Amino acid sequence: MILLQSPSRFLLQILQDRLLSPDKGVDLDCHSVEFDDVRYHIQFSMRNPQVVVLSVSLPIPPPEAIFFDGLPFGAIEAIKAAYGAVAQILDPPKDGYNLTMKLNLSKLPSDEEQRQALLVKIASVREVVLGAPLRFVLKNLATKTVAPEMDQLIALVHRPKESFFLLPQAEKVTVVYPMRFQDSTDIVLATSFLQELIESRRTAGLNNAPSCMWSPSPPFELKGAPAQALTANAGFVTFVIFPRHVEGKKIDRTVWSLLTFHAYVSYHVKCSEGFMHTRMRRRVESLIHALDRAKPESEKSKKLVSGKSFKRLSLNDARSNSNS
Amino acid sequence: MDAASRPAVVIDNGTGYTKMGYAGNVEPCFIIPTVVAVNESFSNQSRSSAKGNWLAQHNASVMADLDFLIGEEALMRSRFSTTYNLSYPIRNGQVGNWDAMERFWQQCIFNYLRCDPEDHYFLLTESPLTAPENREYTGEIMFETFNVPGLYIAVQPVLALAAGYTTSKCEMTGVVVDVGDGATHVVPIADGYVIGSSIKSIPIAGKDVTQFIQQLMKERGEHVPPEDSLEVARKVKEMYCYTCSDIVKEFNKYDRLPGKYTKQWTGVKPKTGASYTCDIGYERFLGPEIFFHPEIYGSDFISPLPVVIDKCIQSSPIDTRRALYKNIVLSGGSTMFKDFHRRLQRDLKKIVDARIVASAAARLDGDVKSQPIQVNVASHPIQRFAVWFGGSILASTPEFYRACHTKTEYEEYGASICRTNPVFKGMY
Ligand SMILES: Nc1ncnc2c1ncn2[C@@H]1O[C@H](COP(=O)(O)OP(=O)(O)OP(=O)(O)O)[C@@H](O)[C@H]1O
Ligand SMILES: [Mg+2]
Repeated sequence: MILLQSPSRFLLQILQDRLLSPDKGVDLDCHSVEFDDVRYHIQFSMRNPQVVVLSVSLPIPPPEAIFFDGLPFGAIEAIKAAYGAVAQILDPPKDGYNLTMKLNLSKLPSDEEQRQALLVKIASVREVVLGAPLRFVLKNLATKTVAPEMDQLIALVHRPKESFFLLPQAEKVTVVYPMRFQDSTDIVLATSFLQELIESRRTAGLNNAPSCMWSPSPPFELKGAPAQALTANAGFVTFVIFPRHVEGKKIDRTVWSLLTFHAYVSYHVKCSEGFMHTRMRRRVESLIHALDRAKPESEKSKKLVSGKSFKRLSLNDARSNSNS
Repeated sequence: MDAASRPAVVIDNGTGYTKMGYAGNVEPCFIIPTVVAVNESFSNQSRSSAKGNWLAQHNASVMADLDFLIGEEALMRSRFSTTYNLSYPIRNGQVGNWDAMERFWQQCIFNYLRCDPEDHYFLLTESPLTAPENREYTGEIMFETFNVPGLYIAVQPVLALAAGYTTSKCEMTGVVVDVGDGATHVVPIADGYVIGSSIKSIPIAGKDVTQFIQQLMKERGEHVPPEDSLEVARKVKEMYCYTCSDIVKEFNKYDRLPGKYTKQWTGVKPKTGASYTCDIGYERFLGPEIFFHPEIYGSDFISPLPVVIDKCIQSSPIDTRRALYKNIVLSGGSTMFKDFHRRLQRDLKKIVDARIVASAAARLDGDVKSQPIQVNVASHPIQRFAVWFGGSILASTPEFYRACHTKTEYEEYGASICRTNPVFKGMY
């Protein structure tokens, strides 16, 4: 439950609704924003009930991460490979967006299971587009292809104006994240969370996981990186990916996890804060209970006989006694 | 990039359903039941091993705090597994369980909307009778846990009134009749300000309609499996119920032509998987009738809704009354019954007219004619999430960002700033 899923719930729900009730006679025009400033815009008009127009806007890349025609390297090919005839890329995209696709619902596979899988894939458009260059590098690693960009530092955008770095080598790929947070509490929590992560990587059960390191200063892999990439208030995290981490189906999970590592840490920090609040609230409650219990007896009894006070009763009693 | 350039997140937490989405959209992105399923097995385990080592106990309670689900998923999970317990964070429109509420928000933000709360301004809603302390609590959670850059807590009926604002030209004066799942409020609003002293609440809402239908079906001996009966009653209510104009005539109609009016319900027993059918008869119109004749449901509360609305307007300042009668706005899922607004308008008009006649008779000089009073109950297609829609409209105006409490203000003055939320220009 604490892992972010790749498909966007929102996109998936809209697409499924569209297919379930194709004659729900309303036009649709809505937008949504996800973490790291990925925005979606969905349009659908009754005039053309089989077509859904989906526009995606990506985080603004920093100078060191290059986009080609507004998209990461290899994104167009990745879209074509993933969606085939269902998606048609519009050029130029809608104003303010990086990519606009026309989805033709009539071309979805008729087999229930395949169709669902493709819908999930469409809802994961973020992974397909932003993850394209990363997937390319990791594929080369898996197939042990020697590519020309070997041993060169590659910057990939993952948040607005922020990038993470890849250093592809023949039998491993090193991934480095400069970790930055806004809030001072977040910085502290994130830093200790990352150190804890390195610690738990050392336990026996995780021998096959990618090795990871954390350091407060930039690691030597970032030698050639631009200066503004070398400041990070929560340190630098390094993962080393070996071919065994990207073989076969594993590559999908690896791409998504690497792509959203920062979001994952930030989500964890928020959850921990919520968790601590819950605990603090509970502690305060239990302390209040303890205080209540510790109240002297007299105070308690005073509360119980509020209204008729004991004193007056006894006075009256005394008077009536003396009268008689 | 600046958070004010991104659309604000609008979340309307109701007793029954939570509506959430982004400002500027026409519909909420998600409507999910306001419920959290918590895994109890861990805490049981920790209790049983109370004498065991402290660490195991600690870990178990940590796990219990982390393992939970919300919305439909929570309902599904608790149906098929006994280790999860459901907890409803909101009762009768008020947050009752803050732990559950915080978890619920956490999942809404990260798992449903999938946004980073630091990137967006937030608009939350509260029922008109919420205590200022609750508002502070909400602010504390939003600013401390989620680091939101700005927060505005709006009163639900005011938003419902704002929702009508685009569909027809009107000012921010009117009476909002909000019939949700757990509470019904009749709230007069003048120029965007709630007239607090005249708010009337009714302890009858959607949940009671459902329970009443469940009871009717049980008494007639329909074979609905008991663990499913509430759910079936709710579905029957939402699909088949309507408001009739005259109860006696309606009974006659059903008796004459039962084939035309009674419906069938087919369901599957959750345990055995066998299918069953049952009939739906009088409850189709008797369900919503409890708003107009509450005595058929229970003897605790017997003022019909139109009477309560009339009382509410009569207790408002005299110079607002005409405008209030003219703009009665419905909001909430339980006003979705067919012809609900017609019936309400007719009954209310009757009360008002009777009073005019009576006062004319009481006045001896017959020549001073009082002006007739316009009674108008507005109905619009987005009634079901009118509160959310109003929030979506308001949060997309530039004034919204200025009316919000910001994180810097919170850090400067503390949670007490959340006690008041300014009514802003966009509301006119
Ligand atoms: N089409 C419909 N017809 C009748 N009732 C409906 C319909 N749709 C939803 N409801 C009922 O409306 C109720 C939910 O309404 P709503 O979402 O406005 O309440 P809420 O905001 O969760 O509660 P509250 O405002 O009291 O806190 C439920 O009881 C539901 O069964
Ligand atoms: Mg509500």
